[in-house]
Amino acid sequence: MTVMKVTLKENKTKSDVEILIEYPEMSETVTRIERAVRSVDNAVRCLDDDGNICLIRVSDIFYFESVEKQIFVYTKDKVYRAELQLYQYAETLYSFGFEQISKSCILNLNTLLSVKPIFNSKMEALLENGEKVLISRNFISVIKRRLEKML
Amino acid sequence: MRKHTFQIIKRFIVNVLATTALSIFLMCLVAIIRDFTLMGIFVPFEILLVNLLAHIGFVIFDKINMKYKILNYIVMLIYLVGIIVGFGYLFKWFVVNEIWVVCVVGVAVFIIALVIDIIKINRDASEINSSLQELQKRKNQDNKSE
Repeated sequence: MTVMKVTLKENKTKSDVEILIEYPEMSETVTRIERAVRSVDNAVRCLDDDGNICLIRVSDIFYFESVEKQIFVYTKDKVYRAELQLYQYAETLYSFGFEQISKSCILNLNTLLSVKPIFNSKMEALLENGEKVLISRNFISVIKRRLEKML
Repeated sequence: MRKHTFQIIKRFIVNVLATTALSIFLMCLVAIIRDFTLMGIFVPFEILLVNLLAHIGFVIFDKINMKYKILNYIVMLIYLVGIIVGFGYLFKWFVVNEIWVVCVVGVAVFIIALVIDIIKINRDASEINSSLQELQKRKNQDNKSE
């Protein structure tokens, strides 16, 4: 396997960061690099505890949860209030690896470490930050297919 | 979302039909062992109705998060036996079979379905975990090459 070469070049004439990915042929690795790069630049508008608007990078979001009609955004160690509805995030963030895991939760599958079967055909998902969220039985097959696609 | 709702409904129908088939099979088995006469033509439809009601009840109980998980199963079993006895009297099942025989068949179907469910969920979890491990391996390889 060849080692990927990464070059960083400062260019004062540029007004913004520009990324060029060069590859011998299109592959899944290239697609994943593109996705990773794009996810850094994409952000979700949220409100913090004080009601201030802040932008959270999509790659920093672990999951969205709906609690009593209010949508919350969970990052590694912080919680924000979201502005849109759960289904809207599910649609717009699908390409970044987000998938609905229950009626009230959309998970960033990139933060998923493992799953454990629990009572009543549900699963408990362990995330990178040690948090645990429930996967409803109706969404298990969707997650299985999605992960297979991501491979 | 519509596709997902369709899948939930499809899964529900498959489950109802599967337990109905299992119930009919076990009832036939009991009939053979105990040398009973053949079932009436409407009995399979009656069993289907009871199974449908049982599954509707299970869906509702599933939504209730009881403190002790085992309580959920106990409530489900009591509900199941309740509707078996109730509809058994209504459909006159106990003229041919004794109450306990019908209840044992119902509980057996419940346990078999539960065991199949546990096996399936364990298999799904291990499949998901192996996909996650593979993804993690690839991520690590990418990080190394960087």
